[in-house]
Amino acid sequence: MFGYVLPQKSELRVREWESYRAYYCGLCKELKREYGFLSRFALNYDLVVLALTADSLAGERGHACGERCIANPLAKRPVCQPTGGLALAADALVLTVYYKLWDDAADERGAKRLAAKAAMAWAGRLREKAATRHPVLDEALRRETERQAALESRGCAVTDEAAEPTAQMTRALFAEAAPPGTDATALERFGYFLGKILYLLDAAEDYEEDQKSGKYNVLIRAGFTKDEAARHVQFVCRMCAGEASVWYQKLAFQAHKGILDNILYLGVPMSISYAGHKRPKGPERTIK
Amino acid sequence: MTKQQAYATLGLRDGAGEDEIKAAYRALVQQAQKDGGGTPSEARMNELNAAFDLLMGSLRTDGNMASGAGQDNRALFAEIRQMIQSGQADAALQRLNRVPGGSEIAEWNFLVGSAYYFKGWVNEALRYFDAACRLDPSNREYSAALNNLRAKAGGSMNGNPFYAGENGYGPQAVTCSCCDMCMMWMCMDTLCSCMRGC
Repeated sequence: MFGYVLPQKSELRVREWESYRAYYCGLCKELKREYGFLSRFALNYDLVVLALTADSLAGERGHACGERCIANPLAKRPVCQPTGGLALAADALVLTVYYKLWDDAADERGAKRLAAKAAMAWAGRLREKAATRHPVLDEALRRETERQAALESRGCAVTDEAAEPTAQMTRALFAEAAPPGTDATALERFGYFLGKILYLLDAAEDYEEDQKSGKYNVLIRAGFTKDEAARHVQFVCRMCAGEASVWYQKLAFQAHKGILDNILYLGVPMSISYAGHKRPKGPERTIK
Repeated sequence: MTKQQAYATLGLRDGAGEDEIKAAYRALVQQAQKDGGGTPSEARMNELNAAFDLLMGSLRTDGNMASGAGQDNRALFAEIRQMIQSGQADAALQRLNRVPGGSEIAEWNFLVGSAYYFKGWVNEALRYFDAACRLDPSNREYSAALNNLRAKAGGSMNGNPFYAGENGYGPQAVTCSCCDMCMMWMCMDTLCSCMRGC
């Protein structure tokens, strides 16, 4: 995933910001524990949301302890201790990284392709461990990666269709986060629309680069100029965010509600407003 | 009364248009009034009204459905509605794509939009809802579907605790700016003269 599903820090309460950070650090530690040192470089913000959602629905609050880490060797930072959500997010991260590399090895040329192949050999071993825990998710990611490659090779020019595989992948990720007794349909639909937003924002951001390199981009295929593409993506993403909110309202969150509200109602709209423009990265960004 | 008899009653050829039907009806009612010395006979009025209603009604349904296939489509569309509601959006789309001249029919466009909406293809759904509303602007169901998506495209989100407008900040009911506070003070003053004491 791509770092678009973030909170807006300036609107979080201090304790909410601290638990968000603790989850981020907790995910990093979880990766180290389960998948070794190197996997931590794949860490990103999008999957913290998955961990928070899974724990919130399961009623797990997470417990933070002060720990040191290589990024901050001197000061102790609050780090969330292992939870079900963090374990799921770590597995999901490994699987998504593996299939991203798989896709790159097919798409890229030259040195990048070799790098992707080399990384795949490493990620392949990690993937096996994650896939035995989440066979349904692994299968869904493989199927949708293939579907993405197929629609790219026939030059699909319909935004909804091009975004479908990523939306289905995200839906499969959130399906894993549903504890027994949850409205699974609502959770999956919520994930589906988040995935669609991720794909379209990424396509808008890569517009110029893809234009130069001649790589597939649905917005170029659809005949949009750069400005039109940005406007189109904002328009469609706002509809998706609106739909996501409908399903979000049906879910019974038991913890981290303030953070999740902030992410969906402030963070995501802010990412959408940056569509196709240079954007500040991370949750500390402010309104342009 | 058949359609042919209705046309004959109004003295029109088969297939006459809406304007001709209205003009003929008006002229015949006036004639009937004259004949009856101010009040037309009830039997004649019933006859004219029945012919008029039948022809206008058939014009309306023909306008909505491709002419000739109107009755077939009505049953088909009801079945497709059921399919969409039970979650078979892709199968419904396949059926809809086989309807000849479907894109000219308002309900066809609405159903294609609904199937896409169910799949989560919101941009495609919006296009077809828009077409349905253009073909039949008076239909409340179609305009509700279109307005729902348009409101979301404008940034509306369900259950938003932050009153988000653009960029997540929107107008709030109560503000604390200097101007608002002065205004509030002045309003209170006119009510009970709080500055001077009651």
